[in-house]
Amino acid sequence: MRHERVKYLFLLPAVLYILALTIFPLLTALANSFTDIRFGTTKATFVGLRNYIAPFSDYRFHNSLYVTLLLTAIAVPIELGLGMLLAILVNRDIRGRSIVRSILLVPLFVSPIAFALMGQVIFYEGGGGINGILKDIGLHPIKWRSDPLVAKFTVVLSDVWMWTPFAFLITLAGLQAVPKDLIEAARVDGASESQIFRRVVLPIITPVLLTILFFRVVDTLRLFEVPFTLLGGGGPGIATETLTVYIYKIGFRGFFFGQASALSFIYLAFVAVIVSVLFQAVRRFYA
Amino acid sequence: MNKKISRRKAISTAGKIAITAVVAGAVAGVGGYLAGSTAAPPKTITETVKETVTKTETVTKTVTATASPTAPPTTPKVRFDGVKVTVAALAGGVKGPICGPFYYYRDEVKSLTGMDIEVVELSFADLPIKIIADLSTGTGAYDGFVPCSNIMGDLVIPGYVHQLDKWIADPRFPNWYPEKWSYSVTQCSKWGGHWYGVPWDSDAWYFNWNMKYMDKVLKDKDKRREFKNKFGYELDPYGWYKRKELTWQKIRDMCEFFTGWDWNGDGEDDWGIIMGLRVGEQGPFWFIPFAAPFLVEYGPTIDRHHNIFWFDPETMEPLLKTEGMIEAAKLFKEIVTKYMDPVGFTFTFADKWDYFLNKEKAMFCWAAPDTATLVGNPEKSKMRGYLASIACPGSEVYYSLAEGRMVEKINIVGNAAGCSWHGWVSTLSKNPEAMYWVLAYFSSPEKLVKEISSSKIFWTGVDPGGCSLQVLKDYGGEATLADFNLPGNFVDPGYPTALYNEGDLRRFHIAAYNNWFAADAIQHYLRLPGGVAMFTSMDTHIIGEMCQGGVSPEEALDRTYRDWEKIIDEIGREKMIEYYHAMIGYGKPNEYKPRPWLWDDRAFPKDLIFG
Repeated sequence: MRHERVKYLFLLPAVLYILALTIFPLLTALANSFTDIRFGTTKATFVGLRNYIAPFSDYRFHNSLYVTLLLTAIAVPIELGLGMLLAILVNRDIRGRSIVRSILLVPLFVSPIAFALMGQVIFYEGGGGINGILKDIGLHPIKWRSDPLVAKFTVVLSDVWMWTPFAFLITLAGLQAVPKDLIEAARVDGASESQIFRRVVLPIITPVLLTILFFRVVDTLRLFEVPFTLLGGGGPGIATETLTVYIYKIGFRGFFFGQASALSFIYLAFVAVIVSVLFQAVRRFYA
Repeated sequence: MNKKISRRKAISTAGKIAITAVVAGAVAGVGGYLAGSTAAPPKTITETVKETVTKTETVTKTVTATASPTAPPTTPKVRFDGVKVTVAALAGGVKGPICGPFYYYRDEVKSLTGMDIEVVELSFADLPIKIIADLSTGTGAYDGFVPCSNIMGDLVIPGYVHQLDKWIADPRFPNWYPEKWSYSVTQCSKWGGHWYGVPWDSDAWYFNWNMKYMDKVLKDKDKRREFKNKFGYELDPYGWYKRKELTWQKIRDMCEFFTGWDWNGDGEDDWGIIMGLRVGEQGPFWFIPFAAPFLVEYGPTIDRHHNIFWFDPETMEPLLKTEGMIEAAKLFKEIVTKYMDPVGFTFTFADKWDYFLNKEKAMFCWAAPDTATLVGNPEKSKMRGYLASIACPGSEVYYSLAEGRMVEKINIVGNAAGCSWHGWVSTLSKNPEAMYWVLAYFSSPEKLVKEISSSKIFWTGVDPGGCSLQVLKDYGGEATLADFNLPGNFVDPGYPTALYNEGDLRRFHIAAYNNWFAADAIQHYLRLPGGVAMFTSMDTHIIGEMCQGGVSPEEALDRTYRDWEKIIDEIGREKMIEYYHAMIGYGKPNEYKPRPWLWDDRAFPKDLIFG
């Protein structure tokens, strides 16, 4: 019996840690979301569901939802496709494969905030990294950060640059796990390279691709660093204002913590819905 | 002989010896500092100048320029031995603007008072967040802070900062002469008639042009004829400024005329104007003073229709959808989208200085006073001696709230746009008196003048204008050319080499005077609770969507209006009305009394005034 109790003592630090740093803030945020609490004021008033209902008639919320979904819908398939293509290429017996593989992985080690800060030089419109080259070869500079449409493209480009290596790495691992004898058997049976890929390799690596899709979707839905830092808080205007950026602005520009807390829970629900849809897809695949 | 002493006593004795040594050292240090100052001869420069007085009488006289009686370095009447104060300030490094002086004077403050200063550097975006988070959670990590003034409402209303009246009257603290500060800039430090911040920096937006280019054009009759043929009136920028007739409508025409010239000979087309409109930074400060003359109408009393810019004081309805504001937004959009290099949409302050002062790629620049304080630095500027600083261009038409219609009349409105960085003392501080001592010391006469004239050591970011101690005697202030190490660019052991050019300096001081004292009216500084959120909303919709995103001025203003209404309702409309009344002094006599417009022929090319 005594040993039974001791094991709980070993669990206690972890439980306390989770309670203090996860559960307590979560419950505090939940409680705040039903009040008009604002940083800078001393008391909060209970406002019921107001903070949960109001965003649905707020055009800024609609916009941020649209921007988040749009960027996710464009960036993730590109990352997945490009990552798979690169993995297939590097999976072949080519000279310097390990060097190419290492180089392709470099962006993975750059933190998003560091990239966003570096991006201010790379995408500087008055002669930065890219525009400087364009100018040197006689082309017009691109409005990477000041044109609303191009700015969205800038975010996608940045995300693709940073996260394609992730898709590449996992896909490569998947490809290398495909049994060689299966491929050789298919080849002996007269299957073309394309048929081998579609009928043999792809079904085997599909769970890997679904895992990448799952991670990238969830990660892109909380896109923050590049729109916030590189595009000046989701600019120009609200062209790249994602949900996370919008919540940040409500919380840390307006100091409306009640609203920001409610928006965070709405965001949580939104991500949960998408994740469950993805899970359903995975489950259907295995069924 | 072999008497034993206890460990406690030994430590105590050692401590006393150490303290005595430190105090002796400090006294010796202070003594040496004072001795050094008194030994130094007064800076006296004699020059003969031609001076034109009030445009009517030209006299030749000998002027003796002596540095303002520099008060001996403040002899502290109070010590703070063992005290450490922590101050949060704008990140910039040891020699960076605003936070730099805290590092620079740290040793001096230590030797004078015994206290230590710790500086916490925070980015522009993080500064208000960390300060409010610290205060509202009761952490009390900062004894004081130097934030952008638009956070004032969120500091004063909940009682997060000390009222300073009691200390200002206390002789133990350095005197920073509150009466020498103009009403226009002290609005950022006062609430309900009481002092809460120690004024320091004097931000306002000024219009600048490159005199190398402008004078060349004005001397060319063909070019002037070309301008007249195109716009139907004579190009006369100096004359317009002299006669208080320079307006944004005329600037629009000049921007169009001057766009597409290769000013600096680099083979590329250059631009009419440059600003720093990067979203997420301080973009609204470019629009707010621009729009002021389209709406603010002077009156002897702060009433519902006069001296008002932001809200209807009775209802708190934002005035963003008035005809005046729409007219301003349309003109602003036209200027920045057609006659400003689009790269200006990615610029902050430093990029803009470089573009205008160093690369010389635009004729005009609309900016904070930093342009004038940096123009003399050869590392940052090629324009030394050629900077025209102009106060608050007006508008030829404005919306009269009293009459409910647009009125055709030139309206010039002074502004306090910018952050006007200055210090506040946290009510959570355990050493509030020490913190106040530091802030008061930095705004004391000697430091205040040195901070604006020491750009060779480092550029402090503290801009002159709001305090008479920093403005030349010729223009209603108390400073002399010698305070700015002029004339002669002499080197003095206690002072850096002068970087200022006399013409640049005079033109800027005239502009500062006209902005703070001689405009038709003054725009109130937005410092309500929620001010940071309102500022961000303007940044998003007006600077971002309208100027860069193709959204119409009406739509951008409407979106800002909706955001502001939401902010007001969230905080509580009745409360906001009360705060707004306190902010502007509603119903009280207007403290701002316009003085005559200032002009000095010595500072401008007389032969290039045509009207």
